Amino acid sequence: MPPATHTPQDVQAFYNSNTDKFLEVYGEIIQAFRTINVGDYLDYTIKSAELQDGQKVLDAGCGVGGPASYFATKLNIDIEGATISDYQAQKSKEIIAAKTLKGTVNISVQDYHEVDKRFGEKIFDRVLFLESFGHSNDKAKAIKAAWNVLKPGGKLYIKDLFTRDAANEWEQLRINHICGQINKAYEYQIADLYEVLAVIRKQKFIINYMGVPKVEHGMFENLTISNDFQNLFDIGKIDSWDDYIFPIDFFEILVEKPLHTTEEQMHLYFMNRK
Amino acid sequence: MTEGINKILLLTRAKDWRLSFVPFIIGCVYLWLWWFKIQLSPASLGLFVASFITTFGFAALGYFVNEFFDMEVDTRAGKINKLKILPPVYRLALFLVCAVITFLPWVWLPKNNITYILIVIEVALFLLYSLPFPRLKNVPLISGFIDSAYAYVVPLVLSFYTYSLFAGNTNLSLIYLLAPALFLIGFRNITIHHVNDIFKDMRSGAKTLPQQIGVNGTNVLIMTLLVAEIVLVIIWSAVVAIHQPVFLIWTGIYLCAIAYRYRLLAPQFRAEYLSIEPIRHLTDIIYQYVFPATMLLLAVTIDYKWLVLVPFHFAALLTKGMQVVAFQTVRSKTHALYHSTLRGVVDPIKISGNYMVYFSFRLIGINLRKENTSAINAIKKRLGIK
Repeated sequence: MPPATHTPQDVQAFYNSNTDKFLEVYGEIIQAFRTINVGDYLDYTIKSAELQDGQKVLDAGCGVGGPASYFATKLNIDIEGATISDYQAQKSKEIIAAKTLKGTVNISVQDYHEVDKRFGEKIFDRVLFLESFGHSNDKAKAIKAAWNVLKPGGKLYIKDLFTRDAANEWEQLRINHICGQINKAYEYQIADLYEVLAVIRKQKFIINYMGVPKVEHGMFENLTISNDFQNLFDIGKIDSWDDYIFPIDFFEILVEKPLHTTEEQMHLYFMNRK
Repeated sequence: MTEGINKILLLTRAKDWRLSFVPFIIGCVYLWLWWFKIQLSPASLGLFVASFITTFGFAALGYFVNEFFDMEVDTRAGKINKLKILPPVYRLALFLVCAVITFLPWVWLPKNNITYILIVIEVALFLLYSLPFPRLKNVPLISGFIDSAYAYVVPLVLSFYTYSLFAGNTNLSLIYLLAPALFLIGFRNITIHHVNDIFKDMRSGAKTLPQQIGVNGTNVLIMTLLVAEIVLVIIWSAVVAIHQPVFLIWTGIYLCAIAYRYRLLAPQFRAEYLSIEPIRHLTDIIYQYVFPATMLLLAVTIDYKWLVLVPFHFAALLTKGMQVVAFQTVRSKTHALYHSTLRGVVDPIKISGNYMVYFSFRLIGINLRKENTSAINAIKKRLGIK
């Protein structure tokens, strides 16, 4: 995967000028992989990210706070949302104000690569990246920041698109090319699954699971909204479907920050190695 | 009539050739008009029309033969074959139409034994390429050679030779370097075509060069062909310019056009995607539009009456998009020219009129500029009229 060419400032400018378009097509949940009734998918996210009452959660790249405010209507949780776009932060106020929350939601303008500087260490039970991780131009830094803000035993949940692997080099060429076009259009850098897993493991997270989000057949929205968005606003529009190769896979990854440090667990055989 | 022509164009996949290599070959015909100093006359116009028809005919016939023998393979690959949906009797009719427009013009076109040999070579290449045996289109490297030969090189030589017979000058020196350049252009384009069709070919089991040499090999091949072709065209242009210095116009235009296209396409270009990026077609638009336009311009320097070919070329060999662009450009330039001419005439009259009024008033002691007023207001003021 070539290095990202965009910066957090580019992402900020992108969302400051395009958020209204996203709201028009996607609504307040700006995620491509979703169910026909988007609430079903958010309920699924509550389960898969293991969100529970009483937790303190960081939604990194929270958009206009749609998912965060939904979670807070279902659970008594305390959510901090970080968006790089001041326009989104402003929009989120209306969205949150319109809901009756069991918990609390606070959205601020933050670069999620540096949330540890803002919130300090060992604060959160969960850190969520809901189709926002790909905007990172330094994925190792984003994961390190998540590690720092998580309490021991806390979990990092990433749901995003990842470059698809093909057995044939010509297919892979097309896939990488299309991903490059998507990256350019959305100030994105679609992640490479293996690179992300390597970074996660080097950071010493414990992988709980990794897989395709389990959405029942018939409930899946089929990415119609994201295609409509592309066609309507000419952002990352697909010029020809002739021989089009679907370039990505959606995965969710749940990883855990260990309760104990390596030094404390030296009695365990898998920790006692140099 | 128009519907019939459109149908023939559709069934012979005209969009693959009418706007790609045919304009280039017709551009070469304009070059022959200039090179052989052919004046517009009923005979030369007849020559042009007949050669144009046979060029279309050969292209259509080639695609017909190819599609005809591809019917089964295309079905296996899930590819739409337009001939397959036609009843056999219509296929036969279409074949006859293609054959007639290919060969009938030769009744009038100048010819000798070499002409016949070239025509036989062209048809033989169609068949060798497409027939179930030997079906050389499935032999990776050879298919590129054959495709390039029948789409570019043989039509070029045949066309040049025909015009040379007409002009009574069979010196082939003009095309010694041009023919290899066209071969390289053809080889690059068939390689690109194979890249575009790679998944369909894989499904049908057809083996092509890009499959064999892989992504990196194909990128290197296309880059090499592109560079070699540009170098060869420049050398050819320089050699022609030694004999006819006015040809430097083309050399200059060619270099500028390449620089412009490169500047346009380079920012999005990454070497590993060369074989699927628009930069692989760096020079093609130049050959399709700029080359024929420049050659027609040269032909017009021999006889301005060749301008008669402009609307024909515009209608037959430009895409709809290009027609709109060309039409709008001509309209806006004409508009601008009209207004600047108008300004050139009206403005001096206005200015001299103003000065005349100014100095006339100075003669009677009124300085309009100093009073910052118009002549009428100055008179009204003096007469006490409000």
